[in-house]
Formats: sequence, structure tokens, C-alpha cells
Amino acid sequence: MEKEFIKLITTNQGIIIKVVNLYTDTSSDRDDLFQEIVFQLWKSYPRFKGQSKFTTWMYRVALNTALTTHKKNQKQKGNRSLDEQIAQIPDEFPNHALDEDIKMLYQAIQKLNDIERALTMLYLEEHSYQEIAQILGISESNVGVKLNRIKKKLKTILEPVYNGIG
Amino acid sequence: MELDNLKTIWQKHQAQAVIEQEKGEEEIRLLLQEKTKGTMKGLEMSFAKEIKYGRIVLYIALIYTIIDLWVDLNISSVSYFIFVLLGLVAMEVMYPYYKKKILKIKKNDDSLKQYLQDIISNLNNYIRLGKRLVIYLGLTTYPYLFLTIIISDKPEIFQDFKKAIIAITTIIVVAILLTGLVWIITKYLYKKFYQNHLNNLNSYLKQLEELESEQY
Repeated sequence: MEKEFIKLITTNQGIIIKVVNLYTDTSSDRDDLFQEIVFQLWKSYPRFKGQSKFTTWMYRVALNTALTTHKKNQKQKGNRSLDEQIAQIPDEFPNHALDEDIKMLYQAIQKLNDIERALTMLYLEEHSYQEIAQILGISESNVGVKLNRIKKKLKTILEPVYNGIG
Repeated sequence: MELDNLKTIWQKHQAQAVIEQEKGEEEIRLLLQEKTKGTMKGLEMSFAKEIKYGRIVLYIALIYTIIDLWVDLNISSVSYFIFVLLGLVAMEVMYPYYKKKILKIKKNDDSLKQYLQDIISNLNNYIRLGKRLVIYLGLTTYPYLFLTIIISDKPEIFQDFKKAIIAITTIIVVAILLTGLVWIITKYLYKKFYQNHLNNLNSYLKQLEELESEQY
């Protein structure tokens, strides 16, 4: 079972990497969270009955783990301000150059709460409302409502930045 | 700037990030192994410590009883020797048995929740057994050992009914007090050795249950 599991994880590790990048801002945090997610997936794997797609289940466990870990880390970081955390993103992000648009988008996403971030990521990854609902355990109509709110919120955050640049 | 307009750029960036950060099968296997080992390593170290201290205490006691036997062979010294020897044998048998039972990692058969529940239950049983043994053995062996001391050193006490009653009452009271003291020390040591691991395992289990039922 272990071999089969590792093969599946290796093939689909993009999901873990995307979730990890969404909730961490240093390379050591990324490594820790990656390891924690793989461990949680391994622990939950015996209960995976194939009722949903493997990738849906993987997103679900990865996001649950990231959210739990993120909450703990936020408590530990305590007084560190959001601005300080955002300021760190471009410096420590993987070494390819982030163009201005993606940098702005990341900074805007960082201003959303944990669940909104997850929703935004899944939306940007072009998952259907049905898949998003399955991954997050909420209703499809709720996904629509929440996404509309997030879009408005992001527009409010991004527009002044773009106008300022333009 | 609409969110929909950023989908392409997001996906392109994510694809690049995945390529840069992806790991091989072997690397993932090692990550998993390291994490699993880390979870149980602390518990294993506590067992090692307990057996180390247990051996030190019992071997010192064994040397003492052998000297005592050599100096003065009587019912008291023979009893001491037998009890210490039995304790040593019990420890050498009991520790490896529980260590194997508690630390055994069932990789393929059970779900992790079941696995964690088993470890927690086995560890709790082990601690409970240890505490109970202290009480049962204390309340039986201490009176017996004190009695053998009196029989060997001052057998005349039992010729006087009043003195005999006082001696027996004293033996019972001292045995109860001593058992209580050893029980408190044992409880403290178990807490020091295993409470953290139990808390961690319980929090793992709780986390697992939360993961199963988490609602957004």
C-alpha cells in the first residue's frame, strides 16, 4: 500500500505544492507543511474509499492540514503584522521572477481569510463549483455566493493598486 | 482588474512553481518515514529511560541482597533476594513485551485512527498496570518483608500477644505509608516519562477526528 500511495502522491504532488505555497511564506515553512500534508494523507489514506476523485480527496486533506497548521503558526507568530508577512513573499518565493500581476494577486490573496484563499485558489485553478463544494464541504450555491463576495473584495483590493500603477 | 483575467497568469505561475518544487518518489518516501519515526521516537526514548533506571535500581538492590545473604543468611535476607530477583525477571520480561506492543507500527492493516487509538489504549493500560502493581505488590511484599525482619531479629515479640498486635499494626501502617509513597513517586515518574507523549498522541487523534468532521 505504501508504494502505491507514494506513487499517487508523487504524481499528484502539484496539489500539495499549490496548497503549501498558498499558506506559507518561507522555504522552511513550505518544507514542513509539505511533510505534514504527506503525513496526514498517509494517515488518512486507509480510509479513502474512492467515493470521490483521488485529487478531490487530496485537496481536502491538504487544505485541512494547511488550515490547521496555519492557525497554529499564526498563534505562534503572534504580533507579526500582516504587512510584514506580505513583504516577505517576493523575497523568499521560488526563484523565478514574479511578474507584477502575480505579485499583486498574491498580495491581494494574502489579505483574504484562510477559507477565502482556498476558494480563490480552487477557482483560479478552474475547478467546477461542484468540485469546490466537494473539496470544501459546502454547498454549490454557497460556493457561488462566497466567490462573488471574494471577487468584489479582490477587486476592491486590486483596483487601487492597478490604478496607482497605471 | 477582474479575477477571471488573472486565471491564466495564476495557472502559468503555479505550473512553474510545481516544476521547481516537485520531489521524487524516494524523497517523498523518506519524508514520510522521517515523520512517522519522529512521532514514535520520543515514546521509545521514554521506554529506554524507564528500563535504564529500573535496571540500575534493581541491580543495585540485587547486589545489596547478595551481600546481605552472604553476611547473614536468614529468612529475611533470602526473601529480599527472591523478591529482587523476581522483580528483575518481571521487568526484563514485561518491558520488552509492552515496548513491542505499544511501539508496533501496523502499516497496512488498520486505519491510522485505529492505530492511534490502539497505542493510546495500550500505553494507558501499561501505566495503569504499573500503578496497580505498585499497590498490590507493596501491600503484600512490604508486610511480608517487615515480618521476616522481626521473625529473624526479634522473634520474642510474638510471644507477647500485646506486643505482637502492636508490631503487626505498625507493619501494616508502615507498609501502607510506604506503598503510598512509592505510588506517588511512580505516578510522578510515569507523568514525566509518558504524559507528553500521551498528550501528543491524543492531540493527533483529536486532530484526525477534527479533520474528518471539519466544517467550513
